[in-house]
Amino acid sequence: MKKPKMSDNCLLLFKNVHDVIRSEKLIKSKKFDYQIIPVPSNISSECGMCIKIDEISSIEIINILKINNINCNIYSK
Amino acid sequence: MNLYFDNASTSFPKPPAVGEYINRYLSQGGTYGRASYPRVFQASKMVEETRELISSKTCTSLISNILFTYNSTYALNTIIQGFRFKNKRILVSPLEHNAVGRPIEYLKQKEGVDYLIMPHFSDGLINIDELKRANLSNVDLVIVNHVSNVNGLIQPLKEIKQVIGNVPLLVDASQSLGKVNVCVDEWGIDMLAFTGHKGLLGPTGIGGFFIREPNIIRPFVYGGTGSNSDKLLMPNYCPDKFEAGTQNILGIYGLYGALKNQPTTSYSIDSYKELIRKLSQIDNIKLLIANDIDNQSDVFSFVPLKTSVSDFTKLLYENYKIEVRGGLHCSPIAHQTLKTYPQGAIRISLSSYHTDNDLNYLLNSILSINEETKNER
Repeated sequence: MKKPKMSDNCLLLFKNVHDVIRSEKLIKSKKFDYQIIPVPSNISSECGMCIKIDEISSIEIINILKINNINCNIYSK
Repeated sequence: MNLYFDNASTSFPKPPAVGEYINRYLSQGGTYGRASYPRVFQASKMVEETRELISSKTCTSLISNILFTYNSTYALNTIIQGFRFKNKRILVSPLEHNAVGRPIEYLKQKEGVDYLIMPHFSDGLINIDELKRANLSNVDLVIVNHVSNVNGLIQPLKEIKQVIGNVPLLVDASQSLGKVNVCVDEWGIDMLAFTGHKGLLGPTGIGGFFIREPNIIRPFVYGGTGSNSDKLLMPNYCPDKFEAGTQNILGIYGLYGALKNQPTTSYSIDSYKELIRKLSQIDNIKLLIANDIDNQSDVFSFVPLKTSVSDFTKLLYENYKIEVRGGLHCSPIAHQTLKTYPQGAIRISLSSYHTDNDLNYLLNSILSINEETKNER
């Protein structure tokens, strides 16, 4: 996976790891840049994972996830 | 030769990839969720890939509603003991295994949940016309063993669901998944329990279930899920609601290897039908099969009439190294239906790895023992 640039990224937050893995598969298949990272503790005390993406791709990615019945929250700095 | 004819107990041999994937997990490690480093991500990904493969095998688009347990008994208990009963009445098929029989008997004794056997023919096939006439208004749940582990009869799930309408249908697919078609969405199946180590050719210790409406049952096990960890209540979404605690990831890797490497069947259907036909012509043997060969899977049983089940089973191994299971097969309800209770029967259960030669050897061995024992009673 190619890491998104640090300056203009956002985080996709999911309710469980099942949705993270399904989403990663879709994002990877569409060749978007992304990174799997721990959920930052200032967002949630959850011990799981989330997906960092380029902010510029976020609308397109969210739409792809919605088509596949995956809901997520977006966290931008 | 492959002389193991006890695949209804557990399949053997397995595809070599089962061991390869188990070894891969042992060398790589990692758990499901709970962190985000690559080792965990890889293990989590394998769990989800396997979930997807099971959804394909059961023909459902509801991937999240495939839940992993340790086997089908655990899955059936999760559903039956977690089910929210209103009228406390269950209809069950006449060929049930104790994985269903014991939980419903427990509920009968402890909770007053009554169960009735569905109308059927002599081979245990559910009588659809009689079922149409049955009063289903106060039935909470219908449970059907898709393929009998005693006579191998395949029940007509699609027709049963059409008759029972909105009453939830729970299918025990322990003997069917991987062996006969299972179409969860098309047939309208509400819940289905499966195991990984029989027809799917995976390792023991991994199974699961499908549930269309997760709200109709409570979780069976409560604990950590790696989600909603700040709350003491279990998450109400799938798969988390039914997957508390660390799953059998070792088993899931093995099951993945099996699902990706399912062998084609080496013996011919004609040879199998010929085996059944010849056995049905033998004096001194009562064959337990479906009345209609079209309803027959690759499992069947027989009862020797001139010697005991245990002696015949012993001779099959001692004289011919054939491994089979004699007795009640944990299915007293099925044997009562088939009038072979309490002595039981000798079960033959095939695998894709058997060849026509193996079936011939089996037939000749049974014929020889039958000849040797014909004057015993």
